[in-house]
Amino acid sequence: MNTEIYIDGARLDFEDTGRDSTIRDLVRAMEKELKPLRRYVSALSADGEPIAEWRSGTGLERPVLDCSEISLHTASFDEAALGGLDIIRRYVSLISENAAVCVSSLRRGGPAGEKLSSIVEGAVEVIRTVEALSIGGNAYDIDLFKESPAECCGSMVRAIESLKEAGDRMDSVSMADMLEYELVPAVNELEDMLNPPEA
Amino acid sequence: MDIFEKNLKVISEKAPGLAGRLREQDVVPVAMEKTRSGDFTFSYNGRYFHSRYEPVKEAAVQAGEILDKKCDWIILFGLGCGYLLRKLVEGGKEKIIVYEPNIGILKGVFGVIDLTDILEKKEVHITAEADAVTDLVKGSIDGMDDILSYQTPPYRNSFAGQIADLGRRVRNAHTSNKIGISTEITSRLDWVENYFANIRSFFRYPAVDILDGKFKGVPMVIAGAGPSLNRNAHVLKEFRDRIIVVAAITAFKPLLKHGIVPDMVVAAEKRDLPEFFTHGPDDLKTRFLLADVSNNRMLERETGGKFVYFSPYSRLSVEQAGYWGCDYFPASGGSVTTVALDIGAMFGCDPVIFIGQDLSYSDGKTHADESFYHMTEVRIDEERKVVEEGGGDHHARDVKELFWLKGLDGKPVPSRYDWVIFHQWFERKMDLMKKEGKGPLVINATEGGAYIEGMVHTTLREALGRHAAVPVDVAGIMDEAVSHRPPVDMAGLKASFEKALESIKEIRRLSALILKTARGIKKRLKGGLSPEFTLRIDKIKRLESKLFDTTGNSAFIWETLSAYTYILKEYLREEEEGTTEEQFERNLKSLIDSYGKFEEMSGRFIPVLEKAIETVNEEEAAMSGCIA
Repeated sequence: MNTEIYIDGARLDFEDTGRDSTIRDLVRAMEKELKPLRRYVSALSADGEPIAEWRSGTGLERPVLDCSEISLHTASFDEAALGGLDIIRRYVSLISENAAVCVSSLRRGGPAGEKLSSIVEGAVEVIRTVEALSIGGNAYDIDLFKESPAECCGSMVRAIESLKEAGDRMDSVSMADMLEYELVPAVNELEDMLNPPEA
Repeated sequence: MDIFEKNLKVISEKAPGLAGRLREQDVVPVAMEKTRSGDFTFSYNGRYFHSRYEPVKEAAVQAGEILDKKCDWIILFGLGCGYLLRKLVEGGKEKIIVYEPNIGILKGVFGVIDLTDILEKKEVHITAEADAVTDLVKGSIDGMDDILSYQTPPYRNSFAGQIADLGRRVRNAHTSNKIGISTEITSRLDWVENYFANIRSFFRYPAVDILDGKFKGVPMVIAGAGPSLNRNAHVLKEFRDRIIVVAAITAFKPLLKHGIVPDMVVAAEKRDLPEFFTHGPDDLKTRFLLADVSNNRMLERETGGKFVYFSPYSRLSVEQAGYWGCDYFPASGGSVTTVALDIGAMFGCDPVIFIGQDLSYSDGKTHADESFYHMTEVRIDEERKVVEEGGGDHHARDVKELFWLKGLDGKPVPSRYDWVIFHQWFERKMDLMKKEGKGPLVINATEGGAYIEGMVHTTLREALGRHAAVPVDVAGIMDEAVSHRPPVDMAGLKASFEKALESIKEIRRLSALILKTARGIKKRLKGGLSPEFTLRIDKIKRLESKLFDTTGNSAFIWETLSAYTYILKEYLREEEEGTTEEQFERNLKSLIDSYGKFEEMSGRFIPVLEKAIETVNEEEAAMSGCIA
């Protein structure tokens, strides 16, 4: 049985000469072909069933010949990078706004409240996105940051850890300090480093 | 001079005890850290008390919150590095009491931060003792003032218990101030009138200090009328000949029910209380100890004898006590049992034992059986934090704020504000006696109600079993003292009344002149503000100055005007509104009202003083007759 391979809806001539290729091999081969076009495989389905967690390796060991049809969808890395950068910007803005409210409340003896959770979650999301963009940028030779964001992310991680420790000992002054003088400057600095790809 | 010495020099002028404590070697200063801005911070118990980056900016945020609120006084729990205090002063708040719960913080801060310019401010106070805060609230803050208490978050997180305790103290002290105002408004005039009405009685009954030191080492039992009196009053019978029993007037009948006739009953009511007397033989077996400002009918009622005590809060009493042969003014915490404690110490009694001093509601009651109030029903509403007293002898439901005190078993007992004030006074008195190292042993043998710090707590049987061993002839000692009563200084007394009369006539004359001038201005005001008013206002000012000088010889006139003084204070606190002309007219009206009151009150007391002089003359003549 021959397996029909589709990429973005167009049928692809594909021959598994060794008859032992896995879906992983197929994706790798495709990404290699796509790289010069600054595209990548964004979604995958086999016999009409989406392979949801293929990025983490799940479902990729299946031999290509076991499937009657494999569909690959691609996306522009530039578009994805712009989306990632936009996510960072939005989180930075949210963190700054919420931190101001939170700091003011903490300094005056009020509770840190739900805003603190959203700040921490936002900061974690920013760090994850930066990591993903850094890996992608390296793979596609695109400088998405004007300089390495590693130090900035390190500061953010340290600030979050200190924030948690201060919270545990009910040290509201240090919590406010961490937010106002460590975390917010670090995310703002990160925002300044963003280097979006040219359209 | 280093920073520490500079700070201490200023502190020692206002709070020498605190300065002395800060110099002690065993006080370890908190470690100070430089912040990014070059200021200081410190950590205590693992928490930073100021930002490590910009503490002054942080203080500005906190100050902003306070400065937005309207208040007369601020009680700041925690000095920290003084940044907030400085911001508040800079923001125009200069009536501040700072309480720092940790002396090590003060020592660390004063070592590196110069706060002299702030601490020098007349109405900025600093202390490390909660009792001193209470004193400052009572001594410096008017009951009409609004108080704002504030603490920064680290203090809130580190000293929650102490903050709650200080809050209670401040609230109680301020309640006491408010009660003081209420008493001033409702009682001052009555007290002055009662004093004058009692003059004849003062010739008859001696001042209580003729018993000074007459009962050395004799146990005194002071009976309040708390509900627990039912539990142990009967014990007194077994020791009756070895003790002196002093009862609050409310406890008189409850004690009689237990077969105890007290040696003395204490009362200070401005109104007559016939319902507290038996109107029978028991009244005649008992001596009454009455305040000089008590209602005159209380002093005129037939009893087994009477003593008078003079009141330190009445100017007339203080001015004239010496002429009556008295130089003792008992300390009072607002109730007659507090007065009795001081009098017990003056007598030389030791120990002084309290019973029926519950200071709390117990078994749904306010008072012991047979007391006038024993039918009063009590309903405690913890949710609304109120107590409803009613039924029985109360015609209407009386809703009071619910307070809590520590009970004998350590658990909270429900109370009300006046009892809390008495309780506070007892604890302060105990503390003072301990510090001074004098005064009798004080035992709280009340078998129920509130625990009173500083008193020994035990049962009445145990206390009397241990201390009441020697028989004492209480009546004999009193009779003997009365027979040696010092003579009344007739000449001094007469001169004092004559001087007051002369002064009060002058006050009436000056008030009338001021009124005439002010009314003249008012009449012409319709034509608008005119420069000629300046001359008239100057005249009023001159007359006012003369009038105030004159009141020095009849200071009691101010007390008779207390109620009006508070109305005037309230008026002065109001924001000025309207045009200059409208404001002027309002002030003029207030001035006319004020001097109208002066004229009325001086007119009212001229015949009273004339009568007082007449009484002195009559008594003098009667005495000469007796001698002749």
